[in-house]
Amino acid sequence: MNIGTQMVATDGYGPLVPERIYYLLASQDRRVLLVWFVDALPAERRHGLVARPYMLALDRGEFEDGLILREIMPCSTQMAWPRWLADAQPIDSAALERAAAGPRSQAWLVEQRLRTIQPAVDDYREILNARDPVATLNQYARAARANAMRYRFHFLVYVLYGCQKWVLLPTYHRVGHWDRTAQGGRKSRLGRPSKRAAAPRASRLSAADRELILDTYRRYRGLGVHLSKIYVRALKTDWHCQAARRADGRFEIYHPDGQPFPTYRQYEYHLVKTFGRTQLQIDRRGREWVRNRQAISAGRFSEHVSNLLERVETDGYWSASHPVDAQGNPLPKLVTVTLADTLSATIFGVGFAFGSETAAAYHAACFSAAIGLERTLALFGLEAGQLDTPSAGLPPALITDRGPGSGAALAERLVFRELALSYSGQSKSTVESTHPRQDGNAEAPTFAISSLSAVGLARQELWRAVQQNHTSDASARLTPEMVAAHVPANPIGIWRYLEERGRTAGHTMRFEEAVRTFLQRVQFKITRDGLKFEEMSFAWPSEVAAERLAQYVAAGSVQGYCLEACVRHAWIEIDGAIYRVSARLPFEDDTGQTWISLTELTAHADRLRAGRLDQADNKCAAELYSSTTYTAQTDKSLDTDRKQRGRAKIRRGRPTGKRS
Amino acid sequence: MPTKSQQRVARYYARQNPQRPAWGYQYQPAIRAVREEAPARSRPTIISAENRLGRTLHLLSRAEVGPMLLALYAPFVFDVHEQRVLDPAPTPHPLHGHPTRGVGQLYRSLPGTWAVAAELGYEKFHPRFPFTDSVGRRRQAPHPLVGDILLFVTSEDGCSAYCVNWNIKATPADFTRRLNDFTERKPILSEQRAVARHAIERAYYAAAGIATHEIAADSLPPTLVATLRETFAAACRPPLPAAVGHAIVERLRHIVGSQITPAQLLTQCSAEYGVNHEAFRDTLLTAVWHRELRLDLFDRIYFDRPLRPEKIDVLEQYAQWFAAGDAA
Repeated sequence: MNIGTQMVATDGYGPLVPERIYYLLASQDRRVLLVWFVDALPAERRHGLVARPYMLALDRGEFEDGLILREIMPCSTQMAWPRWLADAQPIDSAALERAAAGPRSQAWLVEQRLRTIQPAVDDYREILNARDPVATLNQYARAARANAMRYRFHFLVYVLYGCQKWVLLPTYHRVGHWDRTAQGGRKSRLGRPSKRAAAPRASRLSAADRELILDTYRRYRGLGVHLSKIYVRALKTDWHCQAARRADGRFEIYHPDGQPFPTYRQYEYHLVKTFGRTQLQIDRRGREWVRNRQAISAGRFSEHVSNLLERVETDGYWSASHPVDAQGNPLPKLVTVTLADTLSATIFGVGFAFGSETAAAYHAACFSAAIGLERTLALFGLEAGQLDTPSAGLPPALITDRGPGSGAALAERLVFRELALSYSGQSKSTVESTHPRQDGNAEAPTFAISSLSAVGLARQELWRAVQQNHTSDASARLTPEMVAAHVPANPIGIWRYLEERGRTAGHTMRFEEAVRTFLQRVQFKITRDGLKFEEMSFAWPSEVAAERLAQYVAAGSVQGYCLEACVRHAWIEIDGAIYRVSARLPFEDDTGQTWISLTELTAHADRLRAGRLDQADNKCAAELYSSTTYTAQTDKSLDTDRKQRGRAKIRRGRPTGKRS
Repeated sequence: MPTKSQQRVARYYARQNPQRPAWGYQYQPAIRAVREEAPARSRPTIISAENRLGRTLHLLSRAEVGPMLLALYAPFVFDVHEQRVLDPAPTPHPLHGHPTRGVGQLYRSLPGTWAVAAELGYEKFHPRFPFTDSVGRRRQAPHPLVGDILLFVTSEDGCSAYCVNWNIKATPADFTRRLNDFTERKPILSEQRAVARHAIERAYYAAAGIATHEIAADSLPPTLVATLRETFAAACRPPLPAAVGHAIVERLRHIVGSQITPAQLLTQCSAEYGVNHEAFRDTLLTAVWHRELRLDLFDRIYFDRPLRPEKIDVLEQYAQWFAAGDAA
């Protein structure tokens, strides 16, 4: 039996109440001192008293009898800390000491308390041996100018728990843990009262109110529905509130029976606390809006990528203005699709199309990637020169758009084909609508016209892509090794570094295969004059012997491929091999006329055919006119030959002069 | 004019006729990975697995790609049926009538999801669709459920075969949650529905002795999935001639665990065998896919770093997912 042993009398014994924990304070000749604690009142707790101690002196014989009879027993589990400090466990005394910075730190308070009761602790034997220990303690308390009850409490706790100073720790760990939802009603509203005289009379929300707020929200939310509308509807239907007009013309909400109802701020706050602001926005605006605007980035895509061309991001956009053809008529807007590598952000493929043909542009971009950016530039009449371009190569996986545009030929090349989410601007950067923002005015709608032709605009975008590989800042993608190796912090620098080390996942494709897979199929007409496509003649490829031309004339047409954006260079397929053919003019003239797009070429063909029909009409009319005019002038008509049978007898020799 | 649900059910049965079971290249998934059929918020993927299974695989979410690649990687898996219909009416075991595997084995038949739901007390949770019967009354028929992935596995003795059902979700919590809306009005009901659906599927397959394993896709580390993707894609490319390929793989085997990188080996091999970087790299990755070269798949294979030998066999690590249930 030590001091501080916790005992319990399960069925009560003498003055001992059953099921109460008694602490053994002192065992003296004639008596035994027992202490128990009762939770303090709230008013007392505010002053630092956690529990009221009560002392009881039991006759020693009675006590020992009780022990022998096992009416009084030590508790099976002896608490090492007071029960009000149980929640604060583990108490890190070292941390508390270290944190002893401010004037009223916890360590300081503990020291203070200990210092106060120290005189009593020093004289503790005398106190306990006194006839009335409580009165003696009170004297000490008076001497220390401390509250008697608190003094007694601290002293007893200290002594009963083995004189560890940390049992005197104030119960700050319990601060703020009271159940706020338990009470409701007007009286218990927390916080500073509103400064506005006209503020609505509000009350604390009870648990039922909170549930009702959540339930009404779930019922009335919807896309495009603002929270204030939901609130008003909830007040009307579920809380049965009404509104009244005030003298100054404004309105206020009230409940006809005087029942409490939440204010808008309370409604909103409770919803934000439970669902989170993001969920409220998703409900109101839709998931995509939130994802685009608010969602914190889920991490770089490049984090799980380790090679070049392992992941590819596509980006598409329309030109801001319409290109023009040779006569100045506007053509459909140019759509550009770029393929960029995720790891290095290098653009390695650029494709073009017109109007809404985004799938065609995507295929053209894949072709450009397959043949390499440098050859693509050459097809458009540009030279990269000193600007490095990424090497040719196709990624193993492509994210395609839905629909029949992602053709079967493409599918054969790819092992993984992922379809992007519909209407998702983030997962695959589909062609974004970059309609220029129009300042809404009442004028008739306008459209912007560029001074460039289609090929000119395409060249611009192509060059921009090449430039971007050098100008864009890719420093966030450099690993420490790369930085140490002085790799330039631009995409093409990273590309070169990794490619030298063989860290690419790209696949090369033979040129012929690329042409067959990605380019648009067209038919070339073959006539005696040579190759023609849409009334534009193309030079017969020099590698193929001219006799073959004669053989194909019989067939009439040959399969060919072209790029929609620029048909200056096209390809034809002869006996399974692909040959490049170039457009040529009927006579030497400015070659800029051959740099045209497919749309312009088709328009040219239409015009030429129309012109030919005009000429056919003209032929008859001109013939008639000329015949009439000739007859008028010469009194003879053209073509007056007669045909006779047999051979013409032509007299040979000199004229004798006999006849005539 | 058939309703959408009637059309959908007709499509399912057109592709998977219970009277004419199909395996290998003839199998067609009930839901294809095209925008018209895949769920609106999904990211469907098509995998060309001509070499491995003879057809393209249709997966409806990104979560399914990792486990599918793992299934394709396992050499003892001889067929995979994704988006397989769970018929409300009784049907034979998926392996019943297979021409080459499990020929002499006795298989229990599948009871039909409707009977299973009735037994479990989940009738009201079984999806239905409306139709008009011959008399003209509007009635409801059970709508077939669609499972995630059904594997066909050859057992260790090499002769018998069994099936394993995989139920795949992105995270483990998704099994009790319908899709991602925790703020639903009656969350308990939707949880119950989700629980019922999974319970029906599990009991349906268990009645035929097919075990169901619930697979959370994020239990596969992303580097492992990326490595499997890379090696699988390489294995689908046309290989080098066999002799050259074997010689290169032998040389690679020697450098595993040493400080020599594949890039350095390439400089030696390209002169000797006349291979370029692409063919060499593809040979390396193909050998890893076919388990001829055992490397650590839990880290990426870097061409310019030394090759790390295998510490944990992926198939042993995830062996419990391929385990059969009770005897078929």
